[in-house]
Amino acid sequence: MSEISPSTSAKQAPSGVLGLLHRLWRLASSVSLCVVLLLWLTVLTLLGTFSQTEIGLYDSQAKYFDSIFFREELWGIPLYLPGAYLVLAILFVNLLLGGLIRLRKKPKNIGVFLSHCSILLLIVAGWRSFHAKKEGHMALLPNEQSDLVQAYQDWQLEIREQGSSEALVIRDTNFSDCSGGKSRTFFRNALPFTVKVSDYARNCEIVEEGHPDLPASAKRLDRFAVLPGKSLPTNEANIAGLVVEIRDANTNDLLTEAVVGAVQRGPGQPERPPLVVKVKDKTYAIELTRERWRVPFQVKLDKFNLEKYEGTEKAKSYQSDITKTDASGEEKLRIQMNEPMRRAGYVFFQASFGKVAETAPYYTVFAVVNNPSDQWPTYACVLSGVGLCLHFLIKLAGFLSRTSRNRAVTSAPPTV
Amino acid sequence: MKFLTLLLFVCGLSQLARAGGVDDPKVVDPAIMPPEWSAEMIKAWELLPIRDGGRVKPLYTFAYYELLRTRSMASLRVKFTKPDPVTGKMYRSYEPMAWVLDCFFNPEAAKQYYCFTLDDGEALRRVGLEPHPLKRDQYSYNELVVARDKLAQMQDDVDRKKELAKANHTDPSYDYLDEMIANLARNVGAFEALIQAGAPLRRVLPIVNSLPDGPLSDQKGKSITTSAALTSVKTNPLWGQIMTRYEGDPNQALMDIVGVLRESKAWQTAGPRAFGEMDKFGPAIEAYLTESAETLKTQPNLASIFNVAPFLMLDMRASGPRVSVVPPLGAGDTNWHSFGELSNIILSKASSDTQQTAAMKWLQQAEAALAMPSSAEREKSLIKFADDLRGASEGLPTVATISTELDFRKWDFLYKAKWLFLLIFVFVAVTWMAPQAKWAAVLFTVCKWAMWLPMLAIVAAIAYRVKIGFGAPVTNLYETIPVITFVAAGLAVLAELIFRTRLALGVGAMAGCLGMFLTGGFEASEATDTIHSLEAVLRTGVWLWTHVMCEAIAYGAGMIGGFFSLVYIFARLFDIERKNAAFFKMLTSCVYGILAFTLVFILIGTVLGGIWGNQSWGRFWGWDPKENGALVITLWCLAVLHMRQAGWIKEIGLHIMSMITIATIIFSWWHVNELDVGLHAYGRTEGRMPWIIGGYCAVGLVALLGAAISWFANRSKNSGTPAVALASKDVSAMPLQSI
Repeated sequence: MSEISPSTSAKQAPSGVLGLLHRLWRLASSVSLCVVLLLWLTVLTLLGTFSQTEIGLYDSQAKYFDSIFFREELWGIPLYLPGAYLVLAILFVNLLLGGLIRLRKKPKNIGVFLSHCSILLLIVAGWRSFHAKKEGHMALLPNEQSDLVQAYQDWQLEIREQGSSEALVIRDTNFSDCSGGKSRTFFRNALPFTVKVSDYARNCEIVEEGHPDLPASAKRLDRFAVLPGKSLPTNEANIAGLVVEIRDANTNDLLTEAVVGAVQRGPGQPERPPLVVKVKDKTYAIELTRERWRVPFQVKLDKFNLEKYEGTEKAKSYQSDITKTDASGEEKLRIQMNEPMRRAGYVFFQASFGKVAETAPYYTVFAVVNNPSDQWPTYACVLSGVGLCLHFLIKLAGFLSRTSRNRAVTSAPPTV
Repeated sequence: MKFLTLLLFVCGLSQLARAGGVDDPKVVDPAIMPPEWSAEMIKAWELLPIRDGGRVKPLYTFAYYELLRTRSMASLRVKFTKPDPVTGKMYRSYEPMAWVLDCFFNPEAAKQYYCFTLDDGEALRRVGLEPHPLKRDQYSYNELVVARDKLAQMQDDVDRKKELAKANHTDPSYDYLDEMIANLARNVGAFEALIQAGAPLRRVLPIVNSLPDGPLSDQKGKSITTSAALTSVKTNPLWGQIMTRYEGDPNQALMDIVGVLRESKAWQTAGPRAFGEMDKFGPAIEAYLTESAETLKTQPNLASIFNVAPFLMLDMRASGPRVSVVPPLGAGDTNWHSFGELSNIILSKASSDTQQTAAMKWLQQAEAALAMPSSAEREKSLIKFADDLRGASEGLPTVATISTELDFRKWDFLYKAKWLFLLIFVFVAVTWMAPQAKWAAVLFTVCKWAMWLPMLAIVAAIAYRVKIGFGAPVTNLYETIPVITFVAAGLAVLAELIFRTRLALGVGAMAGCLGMFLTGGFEASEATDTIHSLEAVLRTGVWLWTHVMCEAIAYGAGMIGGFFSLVYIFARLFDIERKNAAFFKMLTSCVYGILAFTLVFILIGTVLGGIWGNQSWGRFWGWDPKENGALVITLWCLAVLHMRQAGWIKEIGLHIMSMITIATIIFSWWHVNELDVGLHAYGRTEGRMPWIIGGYCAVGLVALLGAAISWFANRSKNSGTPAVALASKDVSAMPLQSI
């Protein structure tokens, strides 16, 4: 492939701390480390792929790809192995040191240099996207308008004062461990009550107290209880639930205790009424929803166009004609497959469509993404394409010239 | 090797002896055979456009896949008990179109053809049928229809269990025999749909003697055609009231009328018990009208509707939309229709007068054609009918590629490419026997040029498919196979041009042949039209031409690299060319170059896929199994090339790794499709795991062999025994030699 310039020969290697640093430098920039990392990434990718059939994409991704370390059991012995996040971080360092800094700066290595740059850019793009990307969806019926985007995966507990456009949001990462007798209390200075969360279930059914499957330990409140179910591999299909206990922030008096089931908002679907709490003449609504956020403009669905293949129910193409409205005015746009709308850092993609009832009109679903590294992979692709092709052609040219030289010196007739 | 060949030969002989030692039950009396269809008739009907699977295609394509799915091959031979009095032969061969025409117009004969292939006859015992002596054999519809209800029940059971297993993420609780029966039931259902498709045209409805005076009573004891029955219903004063009540839906109205009939004692006693017992309709109606004579005496209009309703309902429902060969019926109509649907259009209030008139015209023309007294006249009229139908669809954009598609199907480029590749491989292998001989040099030169023929055949097949389909060379899993084969064979030809050792061409021809066998095998196992209607998200030529092509090129390159490594390992194993270090060096250079080539395309292809994902739904990477498959190949290629740079692997090490590259390609190309998870749902397959595991085992075995060779070579080197020349010796200055 390419050559790495020797930093110092073995004989010249310094001793002591400097020697250790030197050896560390050599290790961190070595091709061998690169090979180990690449092989481990291959193993991780295989593990993460096969596990999807058992635990689904969301959990597989969290376990193998988003993690620094993950736990695996081998014959009952727990092993803590490096996850893709850590491996990619080390690979980044290795590539930077060995693939760029230590790489012999010769014209014939230009392709390798560019390719290494492109992989570094891809890793950075992935890291940036992992930490800063926001994604969700917006479902609209014809003539419906919204600026609210709902996440696919994460839950949040919203506490909203009546009439206010703002809400206190408690993300599920703060209460996802509140099950099996554990609970956590949330408070805030401006809030006249505290919220204690318990009996959280990632996937559950809110059942009446007489349900035969309900364990004796389950908290029954106002005839209802949370019946935890097995988490579904498709995380989007899980419906969370929990129990909240509302107490007066000053007196600690119990105000109310209730089962809160998740609200899955779909276009035209009735919303489950939130838990309403009245404290000191103020009314608060508490609900468990998918994480929601707003985009800085309104989107109105003017028309949804669907074309099906003849004689089938299979969609051939579908597009949404929309009006985007913000302070600068109105804009008529069409969003369709492979042709998203990019405005104000947000990208709206035509994701899917559906009906809430046979006779109802179609609603459209946009995937909404805010990704600061949106176009970086494209730049990386161009860079790697140029780099790899250059390197391949340089190598091929060298090889062909060697072969023709060999052929020229041979006295034997050319072999057919 | 010799032992293996002998074993195979003995097994083959014993199977033949077994087959020959029993009386073949699959023979029919030639007397029941209808006259053979003429070439003109076949030609007229195979060009007829049909709407099927979301697109309009020639009827030949439809017929081809119907027979392929039912018979497991696209041809049929009907064997006779005695020589055919017309041809003198003991059999008649059927091409797909002739078979479908018999299903349409000679159903009683078609029901006796042994066209249902079952891989294991034991499965039939589960529905109470006695299997033929041969394990894998063909059965006729008449043999199977006895257990029709049980077949349908087994199919429902298997489908239900499959759904349940999918929902619960568990293994399905049925075995392969159950699944075989379910597939057989599906094939029987599809055959019945074919039989039923022509039913409205050939049907004669008996007018029963107990019909009270009123509409149709002048036809008592006679039979009328479907169009006459439809006219009588349409002009029946009661029908208008019925249509008002049913909001113009004749289908539902007829269903309810037949529902009354079916609940009667008369129908339950005399009525049909299973599909195909339509001859019992007449007696059952007769019994019902006799039983209800008192009531119906004052309602002759209703009685006449009762007389024809069961037949018309069957036409509407059982004829279904499967065989939609009637083009849109004038202004305002964009649908294609089956003959059964014509009844619906004629009776429906939703259709315009123009549409009803056109529908009646087609029905009457076909009925008249089938009523012709002689078979020659009948055929002539049917040819005209097909020509008229085709003429009516001319000008529609959807039929623009009908004749192109028929040409493509008839040429069967990939089938021809398969045998050409095999022939070239055999001839190239012959030249290896006498490397120095002049005749071998001439033969090899011929092979070198001839190699372009199958390559061009693949290009032609791809070009035709691009024209007929969406406009990109790879739009589904099937289409990846010819493209990958072409790349593999093309790279081998390129290697031959560079190294000139006769080996690369042979490897390329072998790879080409295997690829074409895989193409045919995949098509036969799927038995559905390989030109699909594309998912909306895939309807983008740019990405299909870039991302998908890059991936396919990388797969092809990786596969051929693995094939060269296979040659290397076997050459080392069997001590071939042991003194010819240049031969091994050539293979190593070749594999190294191909791995680098694979990396270029797999990396660019994978990143392009991510960019497509980002463009389509804002997700550059989602750890989807198909994406992961491509990533595994990318990482593996990167690891191998860096291993070589780090000095971890030398010559044989590279070849072992190259073999494992094949395993990564099998994983990405086939294995992830079996996982039934992820967004790439359009590429999903079922039931291929035994083949995939077989592929892994074969590759693993060769890699292990390579490792063993390397170990022994190192040991002998360390023990001082001169070893086979390895990469450690600089042989770059040595001349290349013939193998």
